[in-house]
Amino acid sequence: MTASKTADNSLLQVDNLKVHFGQGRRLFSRSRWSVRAVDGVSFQIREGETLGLVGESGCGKSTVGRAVAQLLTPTSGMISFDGEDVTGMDSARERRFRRDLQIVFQDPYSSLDPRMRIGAAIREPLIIHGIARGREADARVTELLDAVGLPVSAVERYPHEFSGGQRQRIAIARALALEPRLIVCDEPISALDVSVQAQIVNLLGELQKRRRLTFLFIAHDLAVVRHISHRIAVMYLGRIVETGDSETLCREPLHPYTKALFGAVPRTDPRAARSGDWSVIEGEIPSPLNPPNGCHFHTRCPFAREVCRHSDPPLEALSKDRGVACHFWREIRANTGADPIKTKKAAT
Amino acid sequence: MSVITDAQTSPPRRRRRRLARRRIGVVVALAVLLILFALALSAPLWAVDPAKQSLLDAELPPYPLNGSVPGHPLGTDELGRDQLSRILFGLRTSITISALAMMLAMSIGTAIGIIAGFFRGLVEEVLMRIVDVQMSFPAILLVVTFVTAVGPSFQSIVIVLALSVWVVFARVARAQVLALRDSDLILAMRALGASTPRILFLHIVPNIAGPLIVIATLEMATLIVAESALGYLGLGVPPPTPSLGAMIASGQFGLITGVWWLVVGPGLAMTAFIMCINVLGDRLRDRLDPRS
Repeated sequence: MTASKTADNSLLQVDNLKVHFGQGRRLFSRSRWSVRAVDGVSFQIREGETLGLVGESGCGKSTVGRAVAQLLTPTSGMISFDGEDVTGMDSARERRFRRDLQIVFQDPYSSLDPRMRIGAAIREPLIIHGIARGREADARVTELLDAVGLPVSAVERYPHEFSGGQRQRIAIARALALEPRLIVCDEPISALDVSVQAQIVNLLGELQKRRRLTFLFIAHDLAVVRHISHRIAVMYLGRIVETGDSETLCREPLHPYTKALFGAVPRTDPRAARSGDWSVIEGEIPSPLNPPNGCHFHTRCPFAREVCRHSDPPLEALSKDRGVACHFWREIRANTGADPIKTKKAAT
Repeated sequence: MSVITDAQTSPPRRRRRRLARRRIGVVVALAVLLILFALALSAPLWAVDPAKQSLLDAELPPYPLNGSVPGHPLGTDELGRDQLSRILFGLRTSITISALAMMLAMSIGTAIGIIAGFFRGLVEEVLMRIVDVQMSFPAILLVVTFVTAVGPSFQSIVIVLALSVWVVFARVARAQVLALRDSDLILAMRALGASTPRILFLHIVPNIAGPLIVIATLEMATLIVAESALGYLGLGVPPPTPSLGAMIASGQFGLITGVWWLVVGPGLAMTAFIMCINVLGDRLRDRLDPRS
């Protein structure tokens, strides 16, 4: 499929994206090594919606975000933005692209220049792209600070004078300065206090409504993603294992990994927590240096059979938005009563 | 009860006292440096010509001693030249040469370190191997060899001294850039569309400047010693320009005959200067951390 503007007005289309790191020889080993951080990922985001990208740490979700933001060059695959292929752009087009797509990082302590006042930091994108200078830029900075709920007095202060949540607001204001259409939120709340997380999530939701923003929201916390996303894609070890609109996916997860992820969300209801009706998967995520053959999840999957060791299940499209990459999802859905994850836990 | 309160209040109080003591040290160091600077810089305006010989006044002792002369408060050397004036002019040469060499080394070293750290790859390999090779030689040997080859002159000494210390700046700059280049800050700037020069000059240079300035002050002290060592070995600025090292070298035999002030004068001046620079360098290191 070529990157034409698809019928369902998708703003971002990612096709079979692969990012492999460190292909090369090391001094003392003959073998070539590479980390397959992202190994064939496809998804699309429609204008004005939020796609939540979920997965354990090390599954490659941040790498997807960085590849989308053109901060690293994909090994192969296509990324098109608004119907235009954005891999390998010349610098003039890249400049234009930068205005449309911004990124907010996980750690607001390291993404702001400690030696730059807040006003200068937010003004910088305006100057880089020649959008505004002088008084006009000052006015824009004030407006942006207001939009993220910070006082104008912040302009004269340095990042270290702010708390984590406030810094994340500053980072969001800086990203908003270019009036982007898509913002990649790379775990924007994972480094924050729980009480502040909700504020930032609400701020993002509000900004989306007011400015018609599109988000690629990367996180490892399903509860948060479920709250903010229209659709969710679940990643495991460089691949997407399940997609769906957030309500259906949360109500009826099909892939054993997604089920397990939901099992890992702490329950707030003490009765449910005591009933033992929760499941966890055992073991560690395998190293992407040496991913397992076949289905990447088979080493930890309670339903794994022989075929899973050899054959890699494709992402099977169930409907327009729903997809699952598992050989046995139908069977697993059919006998949910005999869910081995749950029964195993309940027995102990 | 009083014991408890004592135990509770004493740590902060002790800390405050220690801080106060350190602050006094910094103030004294700054004052001494300023006085030495002022005297050395203004010397040509009021001091006696340091090259003016008078064999009748040779080896006069410094002021409070018997036989001292008001015109020569720090005494005279074996050729009857005024010690005070020679020390001040020597200090002048030392400071000028070291400061110029330091600035040259800082520019070369920082530029090379930033290039190596930022662009990585083959460039980095080549540049850092050059640094390693140079680091494996004793600096003074390198300097002596070069000066002997090129011949001592003001310019050649500045250049050779700069070449002997630029590696320190290159290493520190590279290490600092390495820590920064893959940080979220630089990624965020790239995402904002900032050009490489903009990232380098507006974000990388200001963020690595602190450690480099500290290194610069400390290296300044090293360079003064190195310059004096060259003078002592007879490879310093050629006479008649006075040099502290050369003065110590020519005066050292006076220690046997009791003419100690020929060595003690320039030695004290140099020691005071270097100690003050080091105290200030330490203080600077504490202050330049933006988080404190």
